[in-house]
Amino acid sequence: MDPLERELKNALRREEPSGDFTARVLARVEQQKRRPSWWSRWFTAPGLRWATAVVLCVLVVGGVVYQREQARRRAEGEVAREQVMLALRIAGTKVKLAQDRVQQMSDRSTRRN
Amino acid sequence: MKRIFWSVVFLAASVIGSAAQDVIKVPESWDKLAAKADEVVKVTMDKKMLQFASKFMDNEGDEEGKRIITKLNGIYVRSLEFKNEGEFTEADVAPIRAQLQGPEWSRIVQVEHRSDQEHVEIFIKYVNNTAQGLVVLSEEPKELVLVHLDGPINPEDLDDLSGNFGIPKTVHAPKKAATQSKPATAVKK
Repeated sequence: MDPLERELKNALRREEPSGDFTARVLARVEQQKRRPSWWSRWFTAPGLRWATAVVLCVLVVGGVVYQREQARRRAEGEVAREQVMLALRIAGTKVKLAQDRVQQMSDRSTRRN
Repeated sequence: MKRIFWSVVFLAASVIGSAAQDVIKVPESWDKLAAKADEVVKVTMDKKMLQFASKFMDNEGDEEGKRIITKLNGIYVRSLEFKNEGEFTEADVAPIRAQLQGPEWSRIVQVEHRSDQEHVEIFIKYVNNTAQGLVVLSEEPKELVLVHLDGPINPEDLDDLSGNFGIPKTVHAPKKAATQSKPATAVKK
């Protein structure tokens, strides 16, 4: 047996676990079972629970206020748009009236000539 | 330092003052007339309001209006419609016409239709050979209308005004070169 074979055999030799190995594994499994998930830990801490509730409330109220503000702005924008269109319609009507009169006069003078 | 401060204040005041002068002042008598009127339309929109309104002009047919108002500094309209004739006099209109006598203003169209008692005038404000405002002053027996579009507006925009907003486009606006020298006047008896 050469030295390499000897070293390999030594490294891969069967080794018996220590006597308390099974007990340690079972204890760790039990510990894992008892550990609460991160979110349940979050809600069990009283400070964080209140902070979460406040943040959620702020988000909900903020969302409602934002939606209402958007609706108000949309309504104001529609009124502004209507006003612009009304103003342009009035301006357009009067310009058209003047143009028509000028055109009538021009047609009449053309016919006369 | 004090001199610089006062110079800045003076400059700001003159800028604000000149901006304020751009808007045609409506005489107080119009408020009294409005109380007597059957129908009153009052539109006062500065640049900020126009920009705000333009954000909501995405409907079909809004394109032309949006294109015109994005350039403007303001739109001011007063329209009074009365039940009876003779509710207003020339004295109510004269202060407005007086404001349009300045060298920057040119009356490009004056229409007087005597049988219908219509009197329509269109004024354009030229600054450095560019149109910077349009005023339409219309008097009818039962109606008095003032429209002021403040800001860059081309005479060609008049075509767009007459061709949109439900008004048929049949005639063209007078061209600037032809109208600046002599206002087009139509008088019919």
